[in-house]
Amino acid sequence: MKTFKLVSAFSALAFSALMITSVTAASIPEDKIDTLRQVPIDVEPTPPAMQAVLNKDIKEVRNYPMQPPVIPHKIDGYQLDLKVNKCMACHARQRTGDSQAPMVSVTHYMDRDNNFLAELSPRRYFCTQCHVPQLDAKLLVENDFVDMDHLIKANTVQKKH
Amino acid sequence: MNMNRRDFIKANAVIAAAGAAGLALPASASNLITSSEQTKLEWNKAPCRFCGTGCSVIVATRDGKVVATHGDANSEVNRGLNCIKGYFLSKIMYGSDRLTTPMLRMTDGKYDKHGEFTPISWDSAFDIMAQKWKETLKAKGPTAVGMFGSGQWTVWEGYAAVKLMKAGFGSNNIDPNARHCMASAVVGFMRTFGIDEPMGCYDDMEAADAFVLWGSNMAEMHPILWTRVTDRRLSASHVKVAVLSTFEHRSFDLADLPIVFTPQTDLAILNFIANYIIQNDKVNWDFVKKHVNFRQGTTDIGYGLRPTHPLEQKAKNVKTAGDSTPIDFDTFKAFVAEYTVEKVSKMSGVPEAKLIELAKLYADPNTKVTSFWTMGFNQHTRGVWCNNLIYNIHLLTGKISTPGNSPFSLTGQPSACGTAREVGTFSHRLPADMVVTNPEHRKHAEEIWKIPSGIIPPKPGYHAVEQNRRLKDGDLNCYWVQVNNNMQAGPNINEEGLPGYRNPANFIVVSDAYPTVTTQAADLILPTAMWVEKEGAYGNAERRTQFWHQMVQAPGESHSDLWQLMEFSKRFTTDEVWPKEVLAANPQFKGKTLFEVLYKNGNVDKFPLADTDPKYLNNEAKHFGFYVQKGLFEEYATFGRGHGHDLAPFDAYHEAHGLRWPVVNGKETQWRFREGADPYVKPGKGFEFYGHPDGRAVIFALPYEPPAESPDEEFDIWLSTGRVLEHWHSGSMTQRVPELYRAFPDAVCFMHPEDAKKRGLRRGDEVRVVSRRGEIKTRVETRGRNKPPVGLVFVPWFDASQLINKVTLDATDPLSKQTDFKKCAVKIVKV
Amino acid sequence: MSKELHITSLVVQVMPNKMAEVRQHIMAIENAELSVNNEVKLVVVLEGNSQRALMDGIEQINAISGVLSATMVYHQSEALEEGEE
Repeated sequence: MKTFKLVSAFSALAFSALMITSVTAASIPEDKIDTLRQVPIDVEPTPPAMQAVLNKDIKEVRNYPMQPPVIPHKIDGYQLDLKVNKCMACHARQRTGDSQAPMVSVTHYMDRDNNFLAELSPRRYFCTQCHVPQLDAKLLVENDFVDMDHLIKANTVQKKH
Repeated sequence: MNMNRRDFIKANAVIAAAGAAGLALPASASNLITSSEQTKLEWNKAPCRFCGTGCSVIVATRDGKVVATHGDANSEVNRGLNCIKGYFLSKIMYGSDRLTTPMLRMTDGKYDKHGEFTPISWDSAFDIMAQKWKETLKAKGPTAVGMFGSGQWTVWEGYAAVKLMKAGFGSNNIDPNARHCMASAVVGFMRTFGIDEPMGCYDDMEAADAFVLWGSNMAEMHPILWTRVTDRRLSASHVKVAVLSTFEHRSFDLADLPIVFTPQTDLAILNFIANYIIQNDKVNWDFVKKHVNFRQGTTDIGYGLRPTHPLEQKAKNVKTAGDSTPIDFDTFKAFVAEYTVEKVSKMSGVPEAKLIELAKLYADPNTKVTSFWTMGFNQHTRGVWCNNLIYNIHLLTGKISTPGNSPFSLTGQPSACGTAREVGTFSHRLPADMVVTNPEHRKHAEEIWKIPSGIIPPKPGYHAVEQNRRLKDGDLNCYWVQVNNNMQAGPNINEEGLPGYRNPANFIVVSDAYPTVTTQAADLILPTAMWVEKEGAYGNAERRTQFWHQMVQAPGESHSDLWQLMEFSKRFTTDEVWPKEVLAANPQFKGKTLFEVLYKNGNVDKFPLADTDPKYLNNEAKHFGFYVQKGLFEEYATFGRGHGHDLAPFDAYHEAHGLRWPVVNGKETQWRFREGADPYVKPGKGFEFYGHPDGRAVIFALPYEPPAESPDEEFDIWLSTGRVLEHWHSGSMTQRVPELYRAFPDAVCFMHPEDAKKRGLRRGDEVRVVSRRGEIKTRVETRGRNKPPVGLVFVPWFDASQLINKVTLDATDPLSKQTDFKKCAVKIVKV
Repeated sequence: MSKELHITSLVVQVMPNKMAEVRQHIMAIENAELSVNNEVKLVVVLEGNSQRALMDGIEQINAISGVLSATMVYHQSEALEEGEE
């Protein structure tokens, strides 16, 4: 059986039909348009108090398998420089027995050419380039990203009348 | 056909629509997942949407949604890695406040500059735009209309915009926000080499023995390149890393030689290194004699402020700022002789031993040095000089165009090179390094574009900072902003930007995917498709051009910038916009729409719809009825082919994971200007800097000159602005990704604990950051990743609720017109 | 001789006070099915044997009083082989 999709060809056609319909949704005042600001440009809002780092050591579910996990604890004062990598004191393979922290992914032992190394790959040395702690901040705007699992499960949705 | 199959399609349709509408599907919908068909994802390549590194990512889509992204293992740039922003690309398009319909400020159903944003149709949006543009063109001519774009335009969007402005409206008032980003690098290249963009490539990083960062915090701003530098440093123990900045930041974590210097004294340090090389007889004479000329540049050139500003009135050589005269080596030697280690150490606050250690890296003939710089050099009132002076050092030692020896200007935007620079979306430029002031260049462009001669105006238009000034003064009245957030990014918005946009004489149109501060100041907002919602092309900092296909549909009625530009062009005929005498001499153009003369010109519409790949969406091709992107690209590529800017055929880029131009005979170029590596270098030359007619690069004698504004008794501390790792530019994308937002939710004022103590401040206290121009409220941070010295504070600019550019000064480099966002004087006051 | 099956989904923007009425109207359209909605948005799936048929359906929905806009989000066409329906 032959299957093909023509999503956008039809969109373009349908569009001219849609443009005839007048849209009269509610209007938005100037100082409410920018979700990330919510005050007039010439007004200075009071900045929110500094938030604390979420420090519960509870893993957050990843949005997709390849997402680097966020750090569920404080890293204030951790030394991470030419001399010392404090993160690896718990997350290196040999340390995880004592620390019970998750071991860094096996990808972190591979070099640029995908050869396995005995130690953490130097290209992955600075952990905070990909892994960040989370502050207890209130979101300014929701994100409607849909987890692929929801899409797959929802594929079998039945007719709804 | 069984019912399951039909239901499966319907389910997909429902999911897509529910997702677009932001509606949740009931949990009861979950059911058996049995076939692999049902769990399959579509994977395609695309360059990252953020910085100029140009990482390649693999994007997974399912049911019309991006569901995952990861680093492209086959990309030479990033080999499977991403930074934290890149790993969250999947979520940047799904902020719940995406703009989905055009919105016009209206009161009682009519346009009103002070009205509320009211949804209207695209037809009505273009109606009012066309009306305003036509009125303005008629009353004041083409210099009263303008456009501000960016290095985030795709290659063909930038190209279509240049055509619309320069060949359509006959106005050079088009500039990109890349002006804020790397204009100084461009002028630096043009002055020293006569041709734009780096000679080296990222492969230099695996070959270098030393890295020197000049005003570049790569650890946060170019994280994937930093992984390559880190890899090299930690894998080879002889490798040294020197980091120079006006404050300590994350790149210092890898530094063998950390150097914090007094703002503006980088000019003196650069001249000291040249002096050291000469005094210690480390000049590569063979190279210098064959490949280098010496020139003395004009000095006392002002600060790019308004002409009425006292500093401009005082400066002697504002008008001739770009001039230079030939000198010989001995004159150059004498010129830099005053920059002794004692003097420069005093000026810069850097210990003599450190200065000498730094100079030795460059002077040692056996050490291959790669220098990196970004905004520390470029956002500088003497940014072009900084660029010229670093080339001086690499040219004196011949450390250039060979693997590991590389003066490397990094860029901040994904297509600052590919679009802004190569296409030439600047007020003075045309494609392939050509300029509007050169009659031959204009003629050549008009021929390729198949338009009559005399359409492209010879006078450069208003550059970025000038545009805001002219909006305020009422000289520029119709203004279209695409793919950027200049009310947050531009300097001194309190005195220039905001009054300019809100000037009752002006009509401001802003195209964006999300509501921003700039849309807030606009009169008409156009909802815009982003990233993989359209077919695109970007060019990164190592001359690598990368393509991607459209993978998903944009929400609501959003359309790409390309669609918007081309649709708008249908609203004008040549009779309304072109000079009467030109039309009289070329009557075959009379009565034609701009769409017909610019985009249905036999070039752009050359490739039929059938040439598009049926596997992918392409809204623009389907709407206009031909392969728009290919037509625009191929017409554009004719500018550069055979002139050192050769691009490969369009289709090659959909296959390759990027190619570095010039691409000659199917082969990309890693190192330019060196025989054997660059096909444009003639045999027997060794090196050839063919951007200049005599094949020689230029070493410039240029002095230290003071900054436009320094701390004094009242405004007693330096302010530097910049970025943070987790947010890209103004945060309009990254602030909408929860994980990135929570990593760095609000801007803060990084400050030395002693400076805080002196002012009775503690970490977390609310303060006002005040300059002569404006102020913001923020909170004090005395710990964390940035550690300023006493006397300097750092405030990032990603936060829409803390607009630090109310405080900054709109002083620019007089040559590049790029703003110095790194230096102005402020005071910090407890609230 | 093959036949075509076209399926599309729409997001319909509805004036909140007319939602119930609009749903009634759409249910009366032969090839339309309702899915989830909130107070202002409604997801509708249309099925037909040609693009034309879907266009007609969209126009019908647009014409319903209380509908502000109908935006197509997804469209898939299938070539049916003989014997399938």
